This record gives sequence, C-alpha cells and structure tokens, in this order.
Amino acid sequence: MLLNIQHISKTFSTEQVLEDICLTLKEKHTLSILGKSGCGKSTLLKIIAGLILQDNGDIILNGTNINRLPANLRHIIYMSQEPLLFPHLNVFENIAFGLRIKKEKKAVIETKVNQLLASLGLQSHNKKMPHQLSGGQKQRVNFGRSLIINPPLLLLDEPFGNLDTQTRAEMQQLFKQVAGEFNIASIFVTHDIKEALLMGDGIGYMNAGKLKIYDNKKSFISDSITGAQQEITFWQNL
Amino acid sequence: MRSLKRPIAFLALLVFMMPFVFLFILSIANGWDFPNLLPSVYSTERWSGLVQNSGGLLQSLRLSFLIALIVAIISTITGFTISQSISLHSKRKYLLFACYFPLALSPVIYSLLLNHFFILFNLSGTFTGVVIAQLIITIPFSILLLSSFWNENIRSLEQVSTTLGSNLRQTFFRVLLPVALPQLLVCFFQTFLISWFEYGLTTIIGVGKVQTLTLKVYQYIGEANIFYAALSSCIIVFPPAIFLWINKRFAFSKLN
Repeated sequence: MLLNIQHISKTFSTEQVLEDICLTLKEKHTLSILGKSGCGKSTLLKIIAGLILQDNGDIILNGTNINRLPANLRHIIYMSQEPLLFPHLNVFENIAFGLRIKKEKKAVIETKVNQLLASLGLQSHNKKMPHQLSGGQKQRVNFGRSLIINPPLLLLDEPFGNLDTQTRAEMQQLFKQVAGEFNIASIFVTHDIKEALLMGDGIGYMNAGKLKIYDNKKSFISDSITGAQQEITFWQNL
Repeated sequence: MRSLKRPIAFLALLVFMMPFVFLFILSIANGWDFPNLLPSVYSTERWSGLVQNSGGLLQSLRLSFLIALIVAIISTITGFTISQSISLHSKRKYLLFACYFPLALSPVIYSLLLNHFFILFNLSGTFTGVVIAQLIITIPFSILLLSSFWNENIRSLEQVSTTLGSNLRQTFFRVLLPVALPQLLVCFFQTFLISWFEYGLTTIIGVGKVQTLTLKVYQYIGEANIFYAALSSCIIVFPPAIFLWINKRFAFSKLN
C-alpha cells in the first residue's frame, strides 16, 4: 500500500472540518473523491501534503509515518484549481524548478525538461512567460513542474475546474496518459460526478468532513447521496 | 481628439519642466533685475564652487544621499519582513492600523514628542539619531506599502514551492524575492524620497548639526540667497528625478 490515512481529524476554531478520515491508496492508482465545495476536500489534501497539520490521526506513506515530516521533504505535490505558475519564470524554468532546488546538473535538467515539454506538447512554448499562456497550457506546465521531480503521490484539487469543457476533456485525457506513463499515484478531488467516475480507479464521496470510500463504481452509483443515479436518470430522460 | 493629443502632451511637459528650467537659470544667474525677462549676467561660479565644496553643499549632498540610502535599505528590508509577519497575525487589522499613527502626525510635532528620548540616549544632533528618527516614519510606511503583497496568491505560491522541495530559504530567494522585486523597488524609491526631502524631523532631532541638503535649501531661503537656494534645489531634484525614471522604467512597468 502506498498511502494509508488513519483517523484524520481537523477542527478550525469551533468548526470540525474533517472527522475520522480513513483511506488507502495503492501504487499507480488514482482515487477520485467527489464532494461539494466546503466539504473539507482541500483541507484533507493539504494535510496529506504537509501544508496543514492535522489534530489527530496518522499519515503513512510507503510504510513510514510522515506526520512530522515537513512538506518540503514529503515531495507530495498539491495541485490546485489555479495552476499557480511562478510569474517570474518562463515555461522551461517553471518546469525545471524542482530540479534546480535539488541542484541537479545543468545537462540533466535540460534533458529531463525537454523530454517533458515534448510529452506535454509544450516544446514551442518553452520560452513563454506564464501570462502568455492559455488556461490549458498553464495547467500542462503545472503538470510538468510536478511530474519532473517524480513525486510518490499527486494531490489534485479540482485541477480542471477553471477550464472550458473541451480543454477539460483534453486535460482529463492527458492526465490519464501521463499518470500511466509516469506510474503516478494520485488523489483526484472534484465536484463533477462524470469526472470523478472517469478519472479514478477507486472512488469516494465526501460530505461535511466525512469520507465514504466505495468498493467499486457500481456501489458509488447506486448510493443515492452521491447523486450519480439522478445524473444518469436525467441524461436518460432527456 | 487624436490631433490634440500631441499639443496637450507638449503643454503638460512644458508646465512640468518650467520650474526646473527656472531653477537652473536662477542657479547660473548673477543678478536678475526687474523688468528683465532673463538675467543679464550669467556665471558658472556657483556650480564650480559646488565641486570645491564651497558652502558645504557637496558635503550636504553626500550626507543626504547616505542618510536616504541607509533609511531606504533598512525600511525596505524591515518593511518586507515585518509586513509578512503581520499578514500571518490574527490581529493584523489592528497592527496595520497602528502603522498609520506615525504618518498621521506632523513630523515636527512627532519629533518634538520624541526629542526627549533622543536626548536621553545621546542621539540628538547625531547622524544615527537622524537615521533612527526617519526610520520611525519610513518603516510603518513600508509596512503599509508592502502589506498588500502578502495575499492569498503569494501564500499559495509559497506552498507550491514548498511541496516542490524548497526549504524556507529557497522559497524566499527563488520565489518571494523575485516576485516581490517590483514592489520592493517602488518601496525603496519611495522611502528614499521621503528621507531625501525630510525637513521637520531632521531639523529637530539633528539640532542643526546634521546639515542635509534640504536643510541647506531652507537655510539659503532664510538668508534670502535665492541663487544658492536655486543651486541646491537643482541638486536636490536631480537624484529623485533619476530614481523616478528608473522606477518607471523597471518597477512600474512590471507592476502593471
């Protein structure tokens, strides 16, 4: 098991945001978590990434408890809805950022970044600054910047939420392709039922700080609280 | 409308440049009697005297520049770090509000209130005393100016940098500092200008012993020596004009 989350809870002042969250994630697998805004999805991902400290519970990565490990040593990448590229760096340097931090050799950086630029279809944009890119291109660069350091786990917090329908579909395809190519394990959070079903090998539903993991997609669809069955009925009756 | 653009721009430039041209003419004039449109006699005597430090003008120029430089550097660095701490503080609204107090008071009244402490610590009439007195004004100014930098977007960029493996130092030097550079430049130049033109605090805390260029201008005006006042005004305007150009060229364009 790559990731094992045990009984995570978090309270902000008097509001309990997460309540006894447990989940497991196998290597090379993607877990989709469906949930409405404000249900605690982002807080859960930020706790796993080490950006927020949980009140209770354990995070075990590759058999090691990482509760006390600082975020910069976890190498778990948190990707939000906004691509958040570094505005002072061009596409090449944004992707190379993690390698420069690791003080990799110049030649290695050049080779790895160029390979990724090719995989993501960004070769012709390598000199461009973030403000010269479209939303989809920015998110591609964001992927490249994350993948280049070979993270053990990717945490995606509604990464395609700001994209138009066509670009979103393209990015979903790209993510599946890249996740397969780089053997990436990930937790994919979304409020879109179709996306949740499409992206995940496993699936969960989060509501008011509680997470329910389903054995398979069928049981997820048949559970009325997820709204999946209503969505299917709507499209069938149209 | 388009055809009027150039003449209006020219007129604006003329209005803006007129005082500088007038000051320069005065600085090289030797007598300017009414009703003559221009001075009858010109001389470069005062400008060449400047190089020989006659009247201590060159010394005042050096002193003003040194004080303004130190004040601007310290204010920008402390303003940047303190505004970051304040942005993370639960009582940030009150702390930022408190920063307005030194700016709301008149510098003369403010320095009169603080003068007792400067005398107590033997700082009255010293270079260090004047620098500290000016910092009391410029640091809160820098904090207010830079507080808007620490927004949600910057915090998210810090988080991205951290998850990509950066420690605090790397995040500061590789992300925060380059991203903040335009704002830091604006802050540096603004605080430099505040210090450069400061009069009230410098007069009272410096007790006339710290003779900055601004004090010299007032001194010449007090002596009704308009030609020397014009010369020192020319010198006082020159460095800020260069800084404003650099600011516009390198900082404002990036901010927009």
